[in-house]
Amino acid sequence: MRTIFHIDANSAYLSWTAAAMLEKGYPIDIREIPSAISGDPLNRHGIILAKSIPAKKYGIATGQSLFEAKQKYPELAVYPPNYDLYMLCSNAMYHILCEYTPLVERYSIDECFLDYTASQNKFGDPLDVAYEIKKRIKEELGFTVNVGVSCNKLLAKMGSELKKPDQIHTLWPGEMGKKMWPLPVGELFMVGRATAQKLQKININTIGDLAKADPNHMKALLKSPGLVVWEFANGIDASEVTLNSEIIQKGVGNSTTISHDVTDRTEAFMILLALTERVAMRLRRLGYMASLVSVSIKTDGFIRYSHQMKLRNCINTTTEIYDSICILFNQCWKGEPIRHLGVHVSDFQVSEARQFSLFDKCDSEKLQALDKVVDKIRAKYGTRSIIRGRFANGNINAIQGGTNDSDFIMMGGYRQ
Amino acid sequence: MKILAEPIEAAVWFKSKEKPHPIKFRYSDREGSVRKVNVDKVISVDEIKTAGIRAFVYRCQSEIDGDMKSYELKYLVSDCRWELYKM
Repeated sequence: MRTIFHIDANSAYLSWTAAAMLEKGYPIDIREIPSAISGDPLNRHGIILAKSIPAKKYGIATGQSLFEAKQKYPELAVYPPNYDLYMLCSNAMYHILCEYTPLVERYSIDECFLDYTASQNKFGDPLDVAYEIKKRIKEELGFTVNVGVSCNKLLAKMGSELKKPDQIHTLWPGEMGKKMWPLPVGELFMVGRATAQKLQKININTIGDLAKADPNHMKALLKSPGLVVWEFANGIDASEVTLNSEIIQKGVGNSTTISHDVTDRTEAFMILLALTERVAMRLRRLGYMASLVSVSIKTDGFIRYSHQMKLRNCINTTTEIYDSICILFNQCWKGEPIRHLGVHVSDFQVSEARQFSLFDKCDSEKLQALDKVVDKIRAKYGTRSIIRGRFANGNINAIQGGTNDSDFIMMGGYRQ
Repeated sequence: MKILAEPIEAAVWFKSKEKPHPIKFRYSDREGSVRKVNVDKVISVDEIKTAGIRAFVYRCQSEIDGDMKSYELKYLVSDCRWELYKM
């Protein structure tokens, strides 16, 4: 049997901010008062990114708007996010975990999976080590974590989410009936709001109900994810702890919420170009070319739609991706005010070989050489050291998307 | 001792193989007047990583206004900056 740990920082953004503030002599620990981390409402980034446990008691939840949260508790203490600090905290936590096993998967900025199976001979009882890890992170880094210990990733993750903060939970298969099955079905990993509603309609309310249901029935109801969630409810998960360097990335995308509603096509194009700059840079850094390009739009009425196209050949230059994005945007935009724009590329191929086409509009060899130089300049002198002339003297940020200029670990935990 | 985390100007001896050694520093006290302190003795040096921010904390002692006082200086590695951490 394997031994897997899941380590999850408690209200990560908030406790990291708290630890850094205490270190600077701030008189109160913001973890102990109703507080939250939120983006700037003036830029329309005002949603709650993390909240303290006392704030949770007033019904404040992650993802709520700041306005909503303030209505629930007007004296809520709000702090801005600091993504550079979060990277430092996440890296420091990762480095401690690497001391116990080489098999550490960074699942997201604040979560890691550890395969402890082979380390047991060296470090001993898993539970003792879990306590040691928790204690070390608290003492050395100044924040608390939850550790889930079990025999697979799913149960370890469910275990670490049982009771917070600063707790260790085991969730061995034998303990499922007592610890996991009484929970509401929506608490299960991979069961979102929509799936939970569908299950509740047929009177499946707890994880235990789902576990006892007929797998074929679940497959008929929810299609293939039905089988997956049924297996999860029964604690079945064969997936391995995979090093992030071995995870094959299938797509690259960036998006941004704009500080005002965009109604002008030219301005929308500028923002799409700024996003494409970021996406194309990341794509080239991975060493891939893409053949599927898509654009997504969210309107002022929060209606979201996207449009994609498969290209005849593979591309990785900013200009070529931007040209396709413009075509897509023109095809799908109905003229409504735009709140949010996104650019995404996928269907990768390794960028060494390239099929030329008789219908290439531009000299892609030249564009590739140009992008190579631009990437080099940006790597050496900073991301914004060289920008397109279109952005000169304007107030639109020339490279958009992502929270830090150099690190992308927010989603999927892959660091480029 | 209380956390001050006050940025200071410091004269430091960077040794060839050991950790940097603070010699003297200058800080403004609560009344706003600038004080100069010679570091008489470094008692211990500890590496800390609170909130992932790597730093070295020097426990020091000096004679300030005729009194022997102990305090802590902090060297923030990524910022290359010194702070009067606790006093």
